[in-house]
Amino acid sequence: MYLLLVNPEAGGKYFQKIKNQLLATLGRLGVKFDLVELPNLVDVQETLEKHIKVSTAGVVAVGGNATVNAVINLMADEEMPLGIIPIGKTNYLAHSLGIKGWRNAVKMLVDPDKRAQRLGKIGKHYFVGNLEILSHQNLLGKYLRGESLLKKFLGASATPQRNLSVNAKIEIDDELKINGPMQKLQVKLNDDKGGKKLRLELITDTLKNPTKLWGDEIKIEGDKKMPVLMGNEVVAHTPVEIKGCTKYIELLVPKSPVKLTKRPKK
Amino acid sequence: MSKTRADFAGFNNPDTIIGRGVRVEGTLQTAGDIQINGDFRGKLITEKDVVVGEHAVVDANIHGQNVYVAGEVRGDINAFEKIEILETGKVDGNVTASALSIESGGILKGTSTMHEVEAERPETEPTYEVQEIKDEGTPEQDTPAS
Repeated sequence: MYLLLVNPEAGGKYFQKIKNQLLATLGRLGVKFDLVELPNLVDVQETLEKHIKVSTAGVVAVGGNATVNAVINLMADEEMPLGIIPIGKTNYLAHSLGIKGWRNAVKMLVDPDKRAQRLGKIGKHYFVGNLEILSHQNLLGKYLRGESLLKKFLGASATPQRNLSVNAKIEIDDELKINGPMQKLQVKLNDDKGGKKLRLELITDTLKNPTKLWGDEIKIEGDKKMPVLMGNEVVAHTPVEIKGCTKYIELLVPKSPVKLTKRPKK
Repeated sequence: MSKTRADFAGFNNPDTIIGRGVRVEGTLQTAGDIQINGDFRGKLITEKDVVVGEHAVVDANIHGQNVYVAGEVRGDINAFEKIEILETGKVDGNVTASALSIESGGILKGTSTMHEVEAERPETEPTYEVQEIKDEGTPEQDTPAS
């Protein structure tokens, strides 16, 4: 049995629109569940403690990135798999796991695969996946560079190709120091056991020549505040400390498609 | 055979890269290949190869398997295998390796020490087949009757 934690506010109260369909689909596919609503993500910890049972096969966060992050943050110490039904406006983690839409996610719950992913920490909060740190100017450019008819109509798609750097100070594991201009820093959690836990890719002015380094812990600050992004969502600002943890979380993911191989012709 | 520029460009997917224009200070210790195209000051240690690119300035001692220098190194280099200083390379320090090559135009200001390598010898001792030589005697010769 799954424990479904629903954020009814996610995606502009999208849950209310699909609630009946979602419950019907779960029932039709024979997915057993307990459903608990968490308006505004209040009391997530209490709810989790109250409803989690021995028979719970996994916790499923029903919402967007904020819901998923709130649940991940509390499940770091639980040895229970986490599933996601994306119904938010931003569903970065679900998409990165190959879960496209809530229907796809519900089907996945019938017979999921499990994938252990390393947990990271930004300040005191746990996270899973990749982070990007970039200047506000680059953040604006990132949104405007996305193609859409509306942006074309507004003439916005032709805007900032020029990237503005921020003078940043990055410290890796108290061993390495980098000082200088920075446009973007990507932080990826390395799922391989052994070795360093974070993979860093720093883009300075020379776009064709990134700096690639490894570390367990980084501290970053700039002469201007820079947002820390997960997908398209700002989750923190510099100065910030990011750590790769030794803990892993098991995520429920769709089974990878079986590759059909051609029979050799006789 | 020494590495050509084309080979050097083929070093295309190192685990650790310090990009051009980036300044890094400290101890960089890794198990994979390292490519420095920017400025580095401190200590560089790896079990694999180190490439100091043409525009790089490295103010550090370097330990690696093979070290290729096309930029500037101020410090000692210790390679388990070989050190190659390319035509644009400049090393201001002592180098220790099993093999050293300096292209025309490359500069080494320091001493070079070669690791002692045992003289090559065949893996197995040569064997000789001992053949029994039967003494079949000398052919009888007709001796003229006296």
